[in-house]
Amino acid sequence: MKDKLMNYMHIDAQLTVSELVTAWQETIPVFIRHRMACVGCPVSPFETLENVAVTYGLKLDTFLNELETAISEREQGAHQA
Amino acid sequence: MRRPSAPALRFLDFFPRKACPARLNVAAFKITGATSVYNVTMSESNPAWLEALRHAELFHDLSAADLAKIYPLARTRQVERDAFFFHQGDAADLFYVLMAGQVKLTQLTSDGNQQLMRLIQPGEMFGGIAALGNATYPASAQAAQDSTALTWHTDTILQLMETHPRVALNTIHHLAQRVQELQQRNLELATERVERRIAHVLLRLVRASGRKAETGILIDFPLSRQDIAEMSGTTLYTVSRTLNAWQQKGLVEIGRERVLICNPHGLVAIAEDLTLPPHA
Repeated sequence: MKDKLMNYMHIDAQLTVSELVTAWQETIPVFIRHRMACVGCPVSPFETLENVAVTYGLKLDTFLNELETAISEREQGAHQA
Repeated sequence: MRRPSAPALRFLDFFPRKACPARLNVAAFKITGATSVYNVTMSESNPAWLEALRHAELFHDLSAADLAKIYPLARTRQVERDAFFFHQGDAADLFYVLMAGQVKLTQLTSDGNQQLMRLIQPGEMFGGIAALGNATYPASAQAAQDSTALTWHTDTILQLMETHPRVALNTIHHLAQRVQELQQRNLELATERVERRIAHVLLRLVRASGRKAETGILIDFPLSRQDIAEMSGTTLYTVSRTLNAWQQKGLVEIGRERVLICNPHGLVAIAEDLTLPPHA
């Protein structure tokens, strides 16, 4: 059942932080967990996910995976509710 | 309370005696039990410590006879590594000279950070400024290694200063150095504050009218240094100096009336006082 609900969406690394967070607020904990200052940052409309991964020394794939997981987990929760 | 006869303390290698072979300059010895305070009377005094006292900055030009008078007035205090001689806020009535080990002076700031003020080496005094000012200790003194200090009541030292002006002069010299350090630190903090204000102004403008350009984010309207100065509550001179320094570091690029933010995260780190991650 969980497999069917798994989100096949892949996040584009060129999405800006602001766009991502506005569309999916459930990704905020990912930034916080990594102690990133991005949430609410004045340059978040301009910095892409790739930019911030480089700035904070994160592996892009892993980072995008975590964001996708956060989104899909929320979706799963919504389905079960 | 009698102090059992102690093995030769290794810190004495600061002052080698003729018979001794050269040894490592390591000031460390075993402490048994918790902190202890006890009198060291003249008859039990350690002649090597008396000699060591001469090298303390406060007493260094006193005669042997004078030192021999001061020394028995002291108490010895041994503190284990990580334990405290005194805490920030304690009443300051004792004055310390470190004989062996190392002591950290730390302050707890209003945002809950422990800030290291100074490291005290053998021969240096600590707790003196507060004790002489009749106040409370402004910092905590924590032993970074097992440490031993001699300590006197402030009154004793004050009396000593009246009969031995050199002690007073040495203290003044010490205080003058501390004041200079603090003035320097104060200046650095003031500069940091201004830079943060300027960075905040630029970021507000970015948020209001930033446009992504090839090499960074452009503040998309004519902006003079005078404008920035007025918005940051500082002078044209300071803004120019700051922006030039930032340009050197590749944070911004300044045109005639335009500002390009080349390193947005770098600017945010200044504005928000972030610790930059190692790769940034």
